[in-house]
Amino acid sequence: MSLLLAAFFSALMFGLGLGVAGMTLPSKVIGFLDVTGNWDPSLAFVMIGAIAVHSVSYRLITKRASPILTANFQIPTKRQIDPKLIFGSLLFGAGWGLGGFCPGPAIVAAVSGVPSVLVFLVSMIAGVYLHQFINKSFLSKGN
Amino acid sequence: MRVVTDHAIVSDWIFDDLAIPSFLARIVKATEVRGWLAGGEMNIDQFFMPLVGGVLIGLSASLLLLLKGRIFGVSGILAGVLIPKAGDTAWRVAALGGLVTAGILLLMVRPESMAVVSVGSHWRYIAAGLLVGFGTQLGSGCTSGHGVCGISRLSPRSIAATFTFIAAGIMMVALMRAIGVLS
Repeated sequence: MSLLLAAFFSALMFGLGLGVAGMTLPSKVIGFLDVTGNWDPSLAFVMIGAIAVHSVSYRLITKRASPILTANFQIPTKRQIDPKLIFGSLLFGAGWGLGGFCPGPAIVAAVSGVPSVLVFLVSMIAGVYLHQFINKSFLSKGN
Repeated sequence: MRVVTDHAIVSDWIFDDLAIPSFLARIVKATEVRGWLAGGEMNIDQFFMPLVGGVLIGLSASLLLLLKGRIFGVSGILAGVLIPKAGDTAWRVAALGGLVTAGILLLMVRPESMAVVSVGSHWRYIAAGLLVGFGTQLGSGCTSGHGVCGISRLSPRSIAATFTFIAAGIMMVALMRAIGVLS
């Protein structure tokens, strides 16, 4: 139960942060990416604030032998930059620029009930399943 | 004079009043404090609120790491609910519930952050959603997992991914501008 509450309240604070920051507004996100046009740099401060806090706290937290509620930290250890990582990030970035949403803000903003957000969210879910299907059928053969 | 006064209000908020229950109300109030830089011409929303939001995001990722030892990556959390693995799904559902609850709270206390204006046709959102869903799975992460958590621990993969998706986003918006989709 305490694990579920931990996940719930972390995500609650995360979602409030996204809303306060303006990440839930696609026009704002597209303005941030519109470097060659009418650039609105304000969302750079979201990453600056988040990384400033987390880069310090990450080091302090991982000095502990274990997290408070579980036995082990589960932190990705892979370091190799492979084509999947780059190609996937290219597709993600293209979609981010096209719609102005990344996954977290899309879930938070879906509560507004605005049809375009719901269309985005359903399509994003379809995209996750499409990847699962292609990955299972083609990409992981031979592994 | 005005600059000094407004600045004092913000300082009060930062240093003297961090009482958690009134935190949201204070944030709403702070957005009304305008012009503490540039003598009244700049809206505090333009950079101060993104910074506050970013700090909240950093803190929440830290909270999940400290308590549960997991990385706060929304695309991964979502995928783990859509394609469940035994024993590793319930906390993800709780996290999605937290995001939705945040949306409900925002609608109540900060509705301007939820006033989403559609920027294009449904076809555009379908294409965007498919690209984001597929791309984040293939690329093992999104703005939260790579952009915040990964960069904070200086993961080479996450640094490469973040530069790539920001560059792709900039190119996509530049392309939309070039073909006249952006006004």
